[in-house]
Amino acid sequence: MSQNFLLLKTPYSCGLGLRTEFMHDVYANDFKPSWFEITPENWMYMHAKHRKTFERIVSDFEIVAHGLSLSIGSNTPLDKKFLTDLKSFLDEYEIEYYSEHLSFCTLDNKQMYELLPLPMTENMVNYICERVDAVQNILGRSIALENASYYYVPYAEMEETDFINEVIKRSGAKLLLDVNNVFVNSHNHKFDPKAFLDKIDYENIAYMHIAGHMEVSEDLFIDTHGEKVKDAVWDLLEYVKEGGVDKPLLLERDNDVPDYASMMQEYRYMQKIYS
Amino acid sequence: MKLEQSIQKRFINTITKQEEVSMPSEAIEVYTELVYYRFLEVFEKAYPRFKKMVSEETFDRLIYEFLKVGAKTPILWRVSGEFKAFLIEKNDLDMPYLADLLEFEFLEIEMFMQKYSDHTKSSFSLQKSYAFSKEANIRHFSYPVHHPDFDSNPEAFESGEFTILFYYNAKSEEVLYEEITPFIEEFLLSLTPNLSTMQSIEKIAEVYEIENEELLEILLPILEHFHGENILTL
Repeated sequence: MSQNFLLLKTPYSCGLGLRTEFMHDVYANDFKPSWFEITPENWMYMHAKHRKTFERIVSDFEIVAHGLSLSIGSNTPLDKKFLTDLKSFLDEYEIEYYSEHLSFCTLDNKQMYELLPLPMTENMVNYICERVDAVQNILGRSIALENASYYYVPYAEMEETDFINEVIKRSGAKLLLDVNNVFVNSHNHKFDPKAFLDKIDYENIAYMHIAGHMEVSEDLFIDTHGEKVKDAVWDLLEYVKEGGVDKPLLLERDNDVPDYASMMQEYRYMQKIYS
Repeated sequence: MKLEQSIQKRFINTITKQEEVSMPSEAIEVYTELVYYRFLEVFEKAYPRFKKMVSEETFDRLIYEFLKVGAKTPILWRVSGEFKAFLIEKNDLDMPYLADLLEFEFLEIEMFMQKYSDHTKSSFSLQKSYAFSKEANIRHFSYPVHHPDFDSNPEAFESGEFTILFYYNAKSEEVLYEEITPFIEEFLLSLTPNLSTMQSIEKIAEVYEIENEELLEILLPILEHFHGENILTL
């Protein structure tokens, strides 16, 4: 099995989520991110008009694959065919790094394509650890799991920080710390995001995400990835950095994706703050 | 894990409107909308013509009914194929052309998502052996869903037998289609590496008792066009 995120060990390295909306402009611009993150489910079968550009980018840049369909906390048995296809895809494009979400999106073999909140129990920790082990064995790679955003806690026997730390410590997966998710959750569920971060084991972080969210109402923020990163989230990132974290950081944008020049403007801002 | 699974199941049933459980309504609404919009986004991109031909209420209803059955594939674009199968099986819309329309729309997606070879250009020759490319597709429809005016008044079109050839044009990055005759289809599918194109023409001419020259005159421009579009491969 490959080592954990060795190539991503460059301190404060910044990446960008690759999106079809701007991918064809990457080479027309002098300024490029240090690395890209891709959603493998969107590229395992790729649109013919994007193939050449995708293959050029994947061969020129360091890539992290960030999946959506694994459903690590689901009762649905792991989809071996999907995982085998995923491994072939990662191998074909020599992508060493794969991350997913600490959530579920399937149940009883039904796909929701949305990241749903897990009951936070000891049993769930054990169950996820078993599945992480199986996934890592099939993929031949260590994986990282992202702390998810959630709008409802279906059931909890433990604090979220304990749940995350236990899963990461016992499964052998690394943590993909999504700073925006911490912020959005802290707002929606009325907790102190800094106190939350203080309880996270920073040493197990593989890399981090930052993204924009929508302020729907005073009580509800939604993790849309549809606008620029808010100042409060940049501030929270500063707090993480002050805590000694120098792991790679990725800017995500999934909705209302602007042109490449605008993306790079925000990317430059991220670099300025996180260096 | 029984407790956890029952909690997860109740949660999913609630957000997909299959069960009414006392949960904070705002949070549930957020998830209901997130899930619904995920499917809506995919289906309206996959079936823009179908969506325009039914009311928004009907489209919404069909999505929620599909959610009850459940999607299986982990690959999001493929769920449109599952939705197509669900709608055809369900068959509760007064649209006899439904299966053809959905197949027509979904095939374009399937063809966009397949891998195409890099074709090196060579001139067409009757002496060479060609085969019908695996990258092109032929479909049979009972309604002329390929007709540009079909959507505005589908009832005005009579059913029949329509053979449509689909292919990917790398230059325009589009999936193109054209109606072909059953004879052209038979000829395309009869092409084999064992025979030169001319030999294949002679063979089918004999079956249909047509003069070779007469058939060649009809087929040559068609075959040159097919060769130019990589519908014929060496």
